[in-house]
Formats: sequence, C-alpha cells, structure tokens
Amino acid sequence: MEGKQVGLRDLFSMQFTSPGFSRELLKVVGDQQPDACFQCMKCSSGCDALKFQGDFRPHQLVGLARLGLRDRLLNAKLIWSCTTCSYCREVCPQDVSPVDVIKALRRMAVKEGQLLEDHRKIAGYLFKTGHLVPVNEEVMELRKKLGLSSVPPTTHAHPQSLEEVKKLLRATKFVEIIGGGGGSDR
Amino acid sequence: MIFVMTEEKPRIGVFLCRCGGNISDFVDLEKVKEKISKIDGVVTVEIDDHWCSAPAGQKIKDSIKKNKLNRVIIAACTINMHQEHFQELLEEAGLNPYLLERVNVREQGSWVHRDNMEAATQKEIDLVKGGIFRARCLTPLTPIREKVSRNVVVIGGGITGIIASLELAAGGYHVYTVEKSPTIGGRMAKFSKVFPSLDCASCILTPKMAAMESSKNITLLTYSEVQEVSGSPGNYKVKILRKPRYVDESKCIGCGDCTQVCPVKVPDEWNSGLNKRGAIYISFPEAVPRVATVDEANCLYIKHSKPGKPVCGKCIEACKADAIDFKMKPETIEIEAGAIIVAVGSEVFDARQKPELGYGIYPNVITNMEFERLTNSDGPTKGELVNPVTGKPPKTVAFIQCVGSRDEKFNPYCCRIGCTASLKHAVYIKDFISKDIDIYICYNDMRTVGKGFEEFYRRARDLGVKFIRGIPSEIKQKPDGSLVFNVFDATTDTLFEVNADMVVLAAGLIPPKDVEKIRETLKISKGPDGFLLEAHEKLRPVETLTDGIFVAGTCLGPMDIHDATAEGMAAASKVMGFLAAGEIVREPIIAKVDEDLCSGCRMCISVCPYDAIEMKEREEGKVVSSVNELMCKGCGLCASTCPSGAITVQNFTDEQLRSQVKGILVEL
Repeated sequence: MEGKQVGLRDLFSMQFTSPGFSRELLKVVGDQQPDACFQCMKCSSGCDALKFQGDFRPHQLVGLARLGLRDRLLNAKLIWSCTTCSYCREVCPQDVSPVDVIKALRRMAVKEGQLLEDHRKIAGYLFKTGHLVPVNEEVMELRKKLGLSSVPPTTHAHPQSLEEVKKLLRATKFVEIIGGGGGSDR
Repeated sequence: MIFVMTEEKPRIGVFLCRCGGNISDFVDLEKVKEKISKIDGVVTVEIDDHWCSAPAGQKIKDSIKKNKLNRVIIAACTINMHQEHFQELLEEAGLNPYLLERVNVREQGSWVHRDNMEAATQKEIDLVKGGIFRARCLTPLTPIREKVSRNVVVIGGGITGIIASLELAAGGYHVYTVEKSPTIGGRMAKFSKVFPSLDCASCILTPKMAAMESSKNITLLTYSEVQEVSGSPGNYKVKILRKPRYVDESKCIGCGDCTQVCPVKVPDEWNSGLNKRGAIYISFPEAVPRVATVDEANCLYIKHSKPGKPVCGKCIEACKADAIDFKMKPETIEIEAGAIIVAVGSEVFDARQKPELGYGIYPNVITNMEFERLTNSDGPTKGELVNPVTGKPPKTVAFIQCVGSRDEKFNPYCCRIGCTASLKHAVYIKDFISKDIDIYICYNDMRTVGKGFEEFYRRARDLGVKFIRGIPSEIKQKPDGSLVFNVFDATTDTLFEVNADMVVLAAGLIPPKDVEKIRETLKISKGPDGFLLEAHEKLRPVETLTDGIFVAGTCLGPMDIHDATAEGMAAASKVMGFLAAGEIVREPIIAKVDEDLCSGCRMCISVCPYDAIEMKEREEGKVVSSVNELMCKGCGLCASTCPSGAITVQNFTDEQLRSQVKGILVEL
C-alpha cells in the first residue's frame, strides 16, 4: 500500500490524507481558516454556483480540505465551478472564507499541472497574445465606432511587449504548467 | 370538636378578575356579578383587571375594612399563583388568611371554553357559587411551628458535597459530611485538568478539601454510609454506619510506610485499574483524610488469621504510629439534623457494554476517565500519556463521542460533559504533549454549552484537531496492535478509515449504583432516566418533595463542575433559608385525627405516602393513629380511607366540600 498508513484514509479514493494540508493551504492564500469550519453549511445554503451545479458544495470542499484530502481535492473539477463571488466569505460565521480555500486549492492544483483543458487553452492565449481574451474583428469594429484605436494600447499595439510577457510566463514556469504555448486561434 | 366555627354571620366579598382579558374576553363578568350578588351573605362583588396587582390589593384590603368582610373569594387564576400574596392581604386587613377562598375560573374556565361565551359564563357562575358556599364553612387556622436543629448532614464528599458543606460551615451551621470512600474529593480529584481553562483540577480542589478538614464546623465521616433516616423536617435522625478502616484515624500520620510493605496487589480503582495497589492503601497523595485504609476483602491478615495464629501483619510492623487496629468493628452513630443534602454523585457508564468499540478487549481502547489518570501526575504513568500496548506515546489518537449516551439501548440522554471533556483531552495533547500528534474526534453533535466552551471548541479546531461528523460502528485491532475503524463523515459525504494508536471513548454518566437504597432511605423520587428527581426542574432545582431534604450535583443528572458547584451552593443556601429562623412554619392544611372515633385499624398508615402517621397509645390503653404535623402534606388519602370517618384534612373538611358541591348545583 502506498504512502503513510496511519491516520485518516478516504475509502472512496483509497488515499491516505495529509493532516497538515489545511496548514499548507494557509501558506498559499493566508486569508482563510479551513480548520475553523464547523460545517454549518451556510456557504452552501447561499451559493449561486451550487444552484446551477448541485454537486458543487463549498462546505464539502472546506470539509475535505480540513481533513486533508489533498489529492482528491486537487484533482477535482469541482474546484473550478466556483464563481468567486465571495458570498460565502460574507456569510461565514467562523471567518473560514470558503472562496479563499477554493482559490488556494486552484493555485495548488495549477502548480501541479492540474487544470482543465479549457483553462489550458485560454491560458495559451495569454502566452500567444498577451490577452486571455484577445481582441477580434468584431471588437475592433466596435472600438472604431466609439472613436478608439482599433486595438488597445497593450501587447496588441506593442508586439515587443508580448515578448516581455512571454519572458515572464517562461520565468514563472507558467508555460510548462499549461503545456507549452498552445491555445487555438479564435 | 376540632374545628371551632365562627359564630358571626358570613359577610362575603367576591373579587372577579378579568386577568387582562384572559378571563373577560370569554366570560361575561357583568352577568356573573349580577347573578351572584343575590346570594345570601354576599356583601360586595367587585371586578378588576388584575387583582394580583399592588393597587388592586389595596382595594381588596379597603373593601374588607369598609364592608366588614369575614370571607374573601378571589375568582381568578389557579391557586398555584399568588396564593401567599392574597393570604398576606387578608392578614394585613386583620382577617385570618385561611378565610380566603380561591376559585380557578381561568385554567378551569375561560381558557378551556374559548369558543362558547355563554357556557363559560354559566360555568364561572357555578364555580363561584361553589366557592361562596364553601367559604361560609371556612374556619380560621393557625400555621404550625416547630424548633429545628442547626446540624446538617451532607451525603457525598465530591465537589458538590464539599462546596455545600463549606458554605454551610461558613454560615455557622454544623455539618456532618458523609463519604462512602476512604477520601473526599469524588471524581473531580481524579481529573488532570478542568475545562475550558485547562487549569489543574487538584490545584483548585485540594484547598477546598483541606478546608473541609480544618473547618471547626465540619465533621468528616469518610468510609461511612447513611443507613437510616427518621424523624421529621427540621429534626431528622440520621443513622450512619462507620465502616472499619482498621486504621486509627487519630493516630495515622499518612506516611504510607504500610502501603509499601503490603504483599497483596489488586487493581487500583482510583486509577481505573490501570495499576495495582496493596490491600492497605491511601488513594492518592492529597487524600483527605490522609489516612491509610485496609481493604478487608483482600487483606491476608483479615482473611487468613486464626485465633493465636496471625497471618502477614507486615503493615503492623511497618507502622511507626501504631495506628493499625485489626480489632476495629463497624460502628453506627446517630446524628440529629435539621436538614439533609443528598449529593451522592453518579457513576461512569461501563463501556464494556458496547463491545463493538473494543473496550476491555483491546488495551489501547481506553475511556475518558482512564485518559484523565494517564495524564495526571499522580496517575499510574506519572502523567505521561502512553499507548498501553506499546508503552510509547501515541502518534494518532481518535476520540469517540456519545458512548452509551443518546442511545435508546442504554442512556437516551446526553451526557453533557463528553464533548467538552474530549475537547479538553484533544487540546491537552496538542498543548502539553505535541502538536504533531494527529487527533480525530468522531461526534454526533458537538455540544459545547457553557461559558467559554464554544471558544474552547474553536481553539481545538485552530489547533488542527480533526472533527468527523459520524460515529464508527466497530473498532478492530490490526496485527501490529494499532486500531482501525471506518466512519462515515456526513459533512463531506465520505467514508473514512481511521488508523489510530489509541482510541478514547467518551463514556457518559449514569445514576449512582445504590440509587434505589438512597431513594428508599430518603424518600426521593427518581426520573425516567434513573437519576434522582428534583421538586421542580426549573424553579426548585435542589429541593425534593420532602421538606428539609435537598439534592444537588450529578445524582440529579449529568453536569459539569461549574453546575455541580452552583447546585452545592444552591442547596446550602436553601438549607440555610430552611433553618435560619430556628423554627419552621408549615401550612396547617394537614390531617387531624378525632381520637374518639379512631378504631386503631391502621389503614391510614398503609396509605400514607409520606410516612406521616404512627400509632400512639391513649391513656386507657387504646391505640389510636397520630399524624406528624411536620411530615403530613395534607394529601387527604388517609381521610378518604378511614372507615370510621375519624380523619379530616383541615381546610378540606367534609362539610366544606359538601357545601361547595351543593353551591355548584344550586339553582339561583
């Protein structure tokens, strides 16, 4: 059997948990306290994302984080369902801030290369164009109508800056995480 | 003739209450007034919003004087409300308070007939008529007074009994504290720390124990049991058995030399059997009195010596104080006491009754009390928490809540202390042993009701204690001796497997073993949970239905030290209130025996629930029944049972009751 064989094991994934995981999360965002959660479920009661996607339950993500289910959480597509509206942060009676737990989980997941294919694609645009949502023909027309330059004063107008952006993305290993500078053309 | 009838003609005042609409919204009081005004003897009928208010009280007094009333009828709420207040009004106006008649037209009238005003009005008229007829037959009565003893017996030397005894001693009462164990201190003396402050239990308890020993107003009777209680409130006679400890308390200096030489080794109950003690022992270093005790069931000298042929006797040789005396015999003493406080405590649920959890099977499944001993510096490991299997400190500890509690098969009630006790143990491990020990608490509901308890729960979470909302169904041991169990966590909807070095069971509290004997000796009721029952759960929490007998602490139900202390103080305060005047005054609504009519058949004795009747010999050798005025509650069972009609309950005479019925039925 793999890993540490003492403590807590999730019998669904057969993974042993990391009891210090919530501390690890704290280092990532530092503005949330998953350990303090006593599962009142106010976050889930008021969550808009949950209304559209029933299996997204902020209280469960916090609960799993608290109990140290590292692998299960970082692999979970669900952590990407949060709209980051921060409602849960407002209503939490224990200052747990589920939204920040989720943000921390996302960062850790991304760092380990665990991100959704769509996100990987979008992130490719950043490398390729300096924009997550590059300006297309339609937007250019709209800008002209409003009396603006057809492209904004960003990497679109200054291609040499794009090189700087790419340099940064390589230096931060973002490119490796997203699997090279892929990203399809729109 | 026992009752002296007043010669004067009844002059009755009837006071009808609207009760702020509670009555008048459903009853036509003007019609009631019109009808009853015509009855013979009724001098005045008055209506008010609240006769219980101060200005209305003045109106009643003025009316009594102005109309020269000699009977007062208040038609309002139940007699359980405001009775003393109304009686005082009569007294202040110069009338005997027992010339008051209450008619309950709210609970028995308006409240139950909200849908029919006409019928409700007629019912009030009938009830008031009955009251008027009964009032005509009322006679003045005098309250009963008797001198009381200023001694108090406190049964139980745990924290509740200690606090109650110290409070009474400070109030100038002489207290006899009876403890069945060799030392006072109770369960609290076994604790390591107390929640939520985590201060050391003995640091706050031992000064109180020492004060018990040094107080001039306290006589400590340890290793003793109450056997019999007789007498009456204010003047009880308490028979106490002093078990032989075979050590002269006045000579023993508590050096413990005898305990070192005793060759017998038996499980030490003080440490939940985690280690052994001799057949002569001192429970713990701070024991009060710090005196050795011989366990006669295990002592070789007692068990095997024959006349002229003593066996063992090593303790006798070792004792420098010459305190050991195997000739000691059980002794019974009798104490006169004005009041008794029952603070006999409780027992811990035996976790062996839930074999699926492995207690008694796997040595590393322990109870919360054993955890206390394992972390207590006086305990078997000198305070070092070790896994009983490996002898090493644990790396993972799991706590299981509600063991035997909230369980219809065992104790349906919540143990009230298990949650905070496990939090205490978890925080203790993190704070005093190591932050690296993983702790899991499997719970049903985390109940942290008490000052600072919720903050303490938060502190446990901040320290990284892991909470699992679910209880395992079975605990197993792995080949390496460690423990494993599955538990479903409702909050994350996940089935977990917990691998732990040690499991601690939060065993709850159960009624004391000898609860039936206590009930029988002291005539106290018990509740459906098996614990003793207070007179009223909210308003009379430390009284019983017997005057002068009070109850406090965990014999009433599970509670923490704070509550037990508060109850001990409350009981002491109630005792002082009961005895302070030097005499007690009782309502004269009690049974009276007409000795000329009594045939001495004793049927009254067999029905009296308060043991208030005994037979006495009359001059001419005739035996007649006699009611103890202080013990009689006026329930009337004897009066209705007596075949000779010799017993009457004052204020509820046959004449008065018949007259009341007649009044209700008479047509106006």
